[in-house]
Amino acid sequence: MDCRDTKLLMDAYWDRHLPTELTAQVEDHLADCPSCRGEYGGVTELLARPDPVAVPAGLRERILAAVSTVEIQSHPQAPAGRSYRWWMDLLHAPWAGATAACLVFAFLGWIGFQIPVRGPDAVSSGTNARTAPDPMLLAGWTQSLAVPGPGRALPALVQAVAIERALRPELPEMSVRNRVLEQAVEPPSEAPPAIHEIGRIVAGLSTLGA
Amino acid sequence: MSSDSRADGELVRAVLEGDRSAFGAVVDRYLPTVLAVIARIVCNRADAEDLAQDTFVRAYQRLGQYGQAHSFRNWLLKIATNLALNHLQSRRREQSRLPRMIEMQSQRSAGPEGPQDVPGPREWQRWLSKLDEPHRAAIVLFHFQELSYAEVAEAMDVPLNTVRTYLHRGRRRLKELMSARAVTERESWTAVIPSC
Repeated sequence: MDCRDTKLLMDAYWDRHLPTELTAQVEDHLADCPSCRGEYGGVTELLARPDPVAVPAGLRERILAAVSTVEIQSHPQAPAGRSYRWWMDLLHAPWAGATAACLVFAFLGWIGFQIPVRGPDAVSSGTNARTAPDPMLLAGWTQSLAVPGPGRALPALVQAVAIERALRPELPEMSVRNRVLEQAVEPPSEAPPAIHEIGRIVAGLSTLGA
Repeated sequence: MSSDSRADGELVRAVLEGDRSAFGAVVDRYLPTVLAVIARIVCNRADAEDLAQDTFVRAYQRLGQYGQAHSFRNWLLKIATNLALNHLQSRRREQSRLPRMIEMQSQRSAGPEGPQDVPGPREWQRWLSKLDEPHRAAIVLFHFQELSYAEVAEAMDVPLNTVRTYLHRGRRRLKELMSARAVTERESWTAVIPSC
């Protein structure tokens, strides 16, 4: 073992992580090499042989006298140090940030995947590739949230479009959308379709491709 | 001092069942360890004795919270370490408030026969006193009490990696201090361990 190896191994040696054989080699080198001994020997000696601290006479009796004036607490209280919280371990874990980021992205991805929307390009090319959410779908959701009253039927309507697209991906997108809108929104004088009617709409749409 | 051969768990159970004398055996068994840890962390003998007393009083009061699955010694050292670090923290706050008074006090305690200093044939305490407090506590627990990383982390209420950092920085600082002194005085490290 040379000085370079010793330098690399010193922290592991102090941490008691080295196997016995390497520990002996480090100690042999420290004994033989004045340079390394000058650099690491002092710390090694200090850490290896702490001087004893003598207990003064009377301290034991003083402690027992103090203890005799107190009682054992019956109700659990906070420990001596900072209070322990299990989730603090998670926050301090080195992988906590990466895990949280992965979970957030996985959740967002899952949400996106739950909207089976095909963009115009995918429709025109005849593929089933999933793309960004359709602007009409987003507009429908937004409108349904913003407008009270009859507009509340829109979420179900949008779901009907989405379900139909999932069931019949081969249908042209516009025909599905127009068909749904014609049935659901067109009669202005009548009350908007109730939620239970959406099932009927979906059932009717599902026969479109047949 | 009595030499009770009962295990820690048995002594704790006996105390909880009302046998106060069993706590005397606990004090006999762990007072040297607790006092050594605190003295090396706070670097002040009188404070260390007071804090050792506080440690056992607090341990007695909270004996019902001690989980038998854990080492009683480590549980006791956790209380001692926290008391010592909290004491240093409050002392630092006082020093920032009353600089002149502390200056006078330090001048009084800096004498060669000062009773405040921890005695020892090699007087290594001066080196440790130059370290940051958490670094010093980690070194005392890991090297002098031979606790594991996990046990030091538990005693200090810090993550495992923080213990590793404390130890690494503390030893590096010790090495720098010793090297600087050795170079300055052109002496070997064995001759430069300072006297208090």
